[in-house]
Amino acid sequence: MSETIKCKIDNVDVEVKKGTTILEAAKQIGVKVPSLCYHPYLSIEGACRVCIVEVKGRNDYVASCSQPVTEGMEVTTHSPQIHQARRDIVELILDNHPDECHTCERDHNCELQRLAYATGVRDKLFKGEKKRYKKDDSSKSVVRDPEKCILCGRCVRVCNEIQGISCIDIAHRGFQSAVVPAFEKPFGESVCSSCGQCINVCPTAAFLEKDYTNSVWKALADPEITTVVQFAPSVRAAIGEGFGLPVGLNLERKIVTALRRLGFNYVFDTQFGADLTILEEASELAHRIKENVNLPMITSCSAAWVKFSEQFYPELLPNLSTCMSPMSMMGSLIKRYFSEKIGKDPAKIFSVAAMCCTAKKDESLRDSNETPEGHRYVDASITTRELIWMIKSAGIDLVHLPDGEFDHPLGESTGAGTIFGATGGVMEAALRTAHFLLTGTELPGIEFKPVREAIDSVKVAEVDIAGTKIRVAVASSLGHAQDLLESVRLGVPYHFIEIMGCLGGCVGGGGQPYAGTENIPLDKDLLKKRAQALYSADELSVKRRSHENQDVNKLYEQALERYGSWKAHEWLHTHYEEKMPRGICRSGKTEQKVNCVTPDDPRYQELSAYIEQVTSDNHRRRHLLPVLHKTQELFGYLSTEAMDFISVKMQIATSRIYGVATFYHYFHLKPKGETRINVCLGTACYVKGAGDVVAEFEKRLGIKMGETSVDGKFSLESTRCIGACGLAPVVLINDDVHSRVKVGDVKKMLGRT
Amino acid sequence: MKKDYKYAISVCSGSKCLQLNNELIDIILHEIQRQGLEDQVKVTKSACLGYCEEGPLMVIHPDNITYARVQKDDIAEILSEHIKNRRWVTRLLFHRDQIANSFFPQFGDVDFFGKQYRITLRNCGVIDPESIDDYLAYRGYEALAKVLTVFSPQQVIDEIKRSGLRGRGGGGFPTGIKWQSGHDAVGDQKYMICNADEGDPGAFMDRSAIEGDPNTVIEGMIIGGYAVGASKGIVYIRAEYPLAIKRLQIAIAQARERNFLGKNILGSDFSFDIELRLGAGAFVCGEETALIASIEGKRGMPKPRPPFPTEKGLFDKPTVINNVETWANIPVIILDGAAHFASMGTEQSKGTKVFALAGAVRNTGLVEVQMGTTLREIIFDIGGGIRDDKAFKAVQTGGPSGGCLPSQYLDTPIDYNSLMAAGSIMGSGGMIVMDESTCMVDIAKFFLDFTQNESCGKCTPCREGTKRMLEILIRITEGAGQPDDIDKLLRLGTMIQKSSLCGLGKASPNPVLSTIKHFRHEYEAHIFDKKCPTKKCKNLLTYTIIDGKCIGCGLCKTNCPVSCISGEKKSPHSINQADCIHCGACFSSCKFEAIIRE
Ligand SMILES: Cc1cc2nc3c(=O)[nH]c(=O)nc-3n(C[C@H](O)[C@H](O)[C@H](O)COP(=O)(O)O)c2cc1C
Ligand code: SF4
Ligand code: SF4
Ligand code: SF4
Ligand code: FES
Ligand code: FES
Repeated sequence: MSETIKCKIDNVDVEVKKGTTILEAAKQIGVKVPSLCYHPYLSIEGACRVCIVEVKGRNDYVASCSQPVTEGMEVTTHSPQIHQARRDIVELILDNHPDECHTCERDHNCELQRLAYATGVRDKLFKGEKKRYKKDDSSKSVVRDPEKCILCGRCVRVCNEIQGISCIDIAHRGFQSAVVPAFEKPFGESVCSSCGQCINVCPTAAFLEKDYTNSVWKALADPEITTVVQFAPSVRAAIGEGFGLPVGLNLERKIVTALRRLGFNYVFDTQFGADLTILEEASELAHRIKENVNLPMITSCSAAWVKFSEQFYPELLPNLSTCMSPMSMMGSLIKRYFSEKIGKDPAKIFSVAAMCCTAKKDESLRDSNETPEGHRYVDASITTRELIWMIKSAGIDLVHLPDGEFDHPLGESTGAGTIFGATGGVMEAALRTAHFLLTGTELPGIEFKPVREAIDSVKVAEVDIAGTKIRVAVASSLGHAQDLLESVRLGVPYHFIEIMGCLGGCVGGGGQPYAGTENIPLDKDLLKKRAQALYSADELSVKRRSHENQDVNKLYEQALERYGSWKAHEWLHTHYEEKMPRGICRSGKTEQKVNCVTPDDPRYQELSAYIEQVTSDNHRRRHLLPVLHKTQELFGYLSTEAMDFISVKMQIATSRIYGVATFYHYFHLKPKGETRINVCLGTACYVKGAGDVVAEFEKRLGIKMGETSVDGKFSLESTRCIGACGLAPVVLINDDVHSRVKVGDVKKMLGRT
Repeated sequence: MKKDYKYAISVCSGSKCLQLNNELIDIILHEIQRQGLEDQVKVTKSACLGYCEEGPLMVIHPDNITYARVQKDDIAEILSEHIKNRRWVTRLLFHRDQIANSFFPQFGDVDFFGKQYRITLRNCGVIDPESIDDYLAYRGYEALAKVLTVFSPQQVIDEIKRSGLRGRGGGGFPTGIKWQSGHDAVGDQKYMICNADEGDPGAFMDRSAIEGDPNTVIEGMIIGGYAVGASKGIVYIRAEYPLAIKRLQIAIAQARERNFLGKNILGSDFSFDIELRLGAGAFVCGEETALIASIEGKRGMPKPRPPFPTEKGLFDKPTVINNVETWANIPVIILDGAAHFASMGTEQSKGTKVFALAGAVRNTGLVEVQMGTTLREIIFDIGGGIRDDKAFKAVQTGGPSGGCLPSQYLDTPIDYNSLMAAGSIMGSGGMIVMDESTCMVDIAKFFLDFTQNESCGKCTPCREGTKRMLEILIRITEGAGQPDDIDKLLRLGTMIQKSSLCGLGKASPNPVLSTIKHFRHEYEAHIFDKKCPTKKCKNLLTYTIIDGKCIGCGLCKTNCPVSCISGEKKSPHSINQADCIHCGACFSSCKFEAIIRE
């Protein structure tokens, strides 16, 4: 019973479903209202105000992204006033943004640039102070450039709403607002999963992947070095978007040629690694089911998921498959099996992986991902975007290249390896082989559609293998992963679980081409089209089961002996360990809360008791402010340690606590002086000279407003109206009120305390 | 008040006087005992009487005599003279001429009732705010009993609608209509919120109302809860108001004891309870959606409306938010009837409004007047006119969200619409009077600095736009104003007004736009002549030594922090203008008035 609403947009009659926003309704008549903070798959923020329109009968402008149309509404999306206001808003954003477009990695791919053009900012009228921050490249995968951030909040929303991680939040307020990890610590020390989704949704270059192309160029130019490259299934399904081609084309063969043109000596296929992973993983699963140990078994090919599990779900680490990801298996084989085959010192082989993923950079640098002799499995992991840039930079016309062929012995793959790129693909590929391993017969009907397209929610299915009912589940995005694992914690029994860190699986990875007009990250159609490119390739393949891959079988014959052999373990498996800082799951974990150790300090004991007393109801988070008040009362300020404690005890992400603590003036994050001087700067006090009194205190104490003297004796603060306006100007020293203070009184007041 | 006491001494214990007066109260109690008056005299604390200038204050009931500037040593005399001998201590009496302009006509020998009319503050200073019995003696909780026994929820709403009450928090939204939508919204749980976040710098109406009579706010909320169908109430109050918090806590506890709060209130099947929430110093949290976010434990950032809180508020449940003063009006409306309330005020604005009058007036403090009273009456009759015989220049209402009105608007009646038409707003009740020595560019800068600092940072116009406007104002006051700066201020200001997400941003340009409108010449003097007409802006001042007057004592030279004064002893000195930092040290050190500042 969907009600409809009739309205008029730019004099055109429109009829839409109730609840449709002006922006969506305008789209239906072919008007694209400029927007910025709006993202169709994230919650509505209404922050940037770029999308303003005029509504008849209203004095102010209306944000079209958040305002639903109402019956009879008359909207004007463009008029001279709206043009000027929009232009000015976009200019204000640019006024606080570096003028570095020519040297920016997102030049020509930047939504802000497009917007500046579209709204007509041709000169700058309101230039002024700009924010200043340092770039943070402490993470192995994600680079943060806060100066380019325009505070649209999309990254915060994707990290929270889609990924359920809340690694970042907005801290401080007003002009000082900034998107930061908890306590403004470096990204490398945060709970970031390196998924790169923030990069995908960011309209500017404020989030980028870490650039490893330099080392690749260097290796390519070195005649001593043999360069080997592999690329992931999803790279071929999306790379065309970076060259202006429609979404959903599979350019596998053209990429092979392009890589050769770039100068790589060998071009291998990560799909070979995928087939190999399936054989190892399926036999691992068969073993675990037989022995009934460490079930459910959870896939481990997604690097973001692995990093996430080590920080958020350490208790589940025994459940992860010990198999390395296809990329790392490939790398290991390149440095061991392949190097021996071509008789080359592994030290002289440079192994590159082109991935749809940013977290793979992290994975490639894991301590365990090298041979005992110290040869890295993957020397450089680059994203689809980096590869696009390398191809463009070399002037290679990808679209018109002839097809190329992969090299042996790591180039052959089956349709099962191809579908790894889509959510549910690993599961389907594993089932195709597990059935064979367990029964010696093939799965009736090769496709297993119930586990495909786990985009809107987790998918659950049951398969009958040799009379045993195997319960499986698939989740894509770390948010859905948490939903699924929550049900596991509650006791829902599964045998096998596939988790991919990004929505839609690798096709939606954090390293995929930037948004254009057609490809909006997180868009379900986009994800389905890219996945379809892989499913079609699978359908067309002659071999569609991993155990049919001849090169893989040869590998077992020549080197690994059998599935899960001792050698296979040495070469292809890994281990996981709990990592700090620990993350807080979206829905909170009771055990973590209960096991939280309260330090001996009586203040912590009191705080702990207080938290337990107030948080008895189900709105966990609402008690944060009272708890922070209590903490400040006990400790005098909010220390990082105290906030960490609160985070675990209340199961609220630290970034959120930091965001709240820095929002309110009342909370301070540093200890205050013994004597707190608080000058009222309310209106009445100001007009009676409080400003001069402040200047005098600053002069005499040698500190600025908001600071504490080095000896810790005095801190100088301001307050807004304490309601003693009749006695203005008023100064509070600790809690004593001094009224009608004159500049000349300051010396005396300081002397007395 | 217990019947058997003959007298009550009410001692002002507003935040300002409290410390001093706690000591005073001890002495009074001691003295009462000494003089054997325990059975006759009761001592109560009252909220800020609003006349801090003359504090400490004490009122003796039922005579309604007010003593001002009472010192410890005066107590014995007051008790023996006033109580025993029934003679006023004239030297401490609050003076007649002051009483003529009095803020509290009900106290003392007052024949001047005309200008003030107290509804919200009716009990402030009269009852002991820490005693529910006192409140009950003044018809407390009668309105609640009436509502629970004879009114249906819809009848309550209709009554509020008929009264014409509009929200006192600034927006002036009709309270009855708000309650109706809260009532009509579907939800298993609904909330009533009292907005006591009073963030306007220079306003303290809500604080005083709660300190003086917390029960009336609570009673208002219970009645609202009954009308809307809510079982939970939350008072969101500034953490900077410890006394108000304490008194609310006491009042809530006492109300629970008497079953005005809790389950099955007064035997009805209506249940309601109230909880306190402390703010943490963010002006924007006065905005309703930000306030809700803050109660939910989040950063206090506003959200786009719709959905409105009455549909989807706290924890996504229907929520009615009203200001302290709005709540305080409810019991009176119920008791005296909507018609009586509606008989006060103007066509568009009914009842009374409390203002915190401050700035350059003789009498500062709280004023409650009927809607329709003119600005002139408040400033000149009640406020006693401008201090130090200076001339009136402007009055600022609505705090950082309001505007500055010059003298031609003095006859504007206080009313939501007429203030708006004049280019300011009613706001929550801050009223700052400015005399001729105030620089209007400087004052605009002050307010914008405030809002810019308090911007939550969510939306572009407010976060970035106010910063740019402030930069322009700073450069104007520092003598670096550019010819098109006024146009830029107007252009940015209008855009910010129309495009910001919440009321903070939308109203932030008001002080600038209204001062440009009424005092454009001052802006122009700063920009084009590089002069500040009121000599407030330091950087625009030039100091020159007059040859004829300078005797060459060298005092200015010694005092100049940047050594830009030269001259031989006993011969006229001169200032090197290029190096001068305009600090004024020379000007204040010269004993011979040989330096001019212009
Ligand atoms: C920036 C800003 C600050 C506000 N501050 C307050 C405040 O301190 N107290 C208040 O009652 N209302 C304040 N309001 C108004 C509230 O949003 C809301 O309209 C009001 O509490 C509703 O109550 P009323 O209808 O009784 O006025 C503020 C609004 C804005 C935009
Ligand atoms: S990379 Fe992923 S986890 Fe890390 S901040 Fe970005 S969205 Fe969050
Ligand atoms: S980093 Fe990018 S996505 Fe995040 S708030 Fe800044 S501009 Fe928006
Ligand atoms: S107008 Fe200002 S305070 Fe309001 S939402 Fe925008 S940035 Fe925040
Ligand atoms: S797109 Fe609508 S406010 Fe940002
Ligand atoms: S402005 Fe300072 S006390 Fe009100």
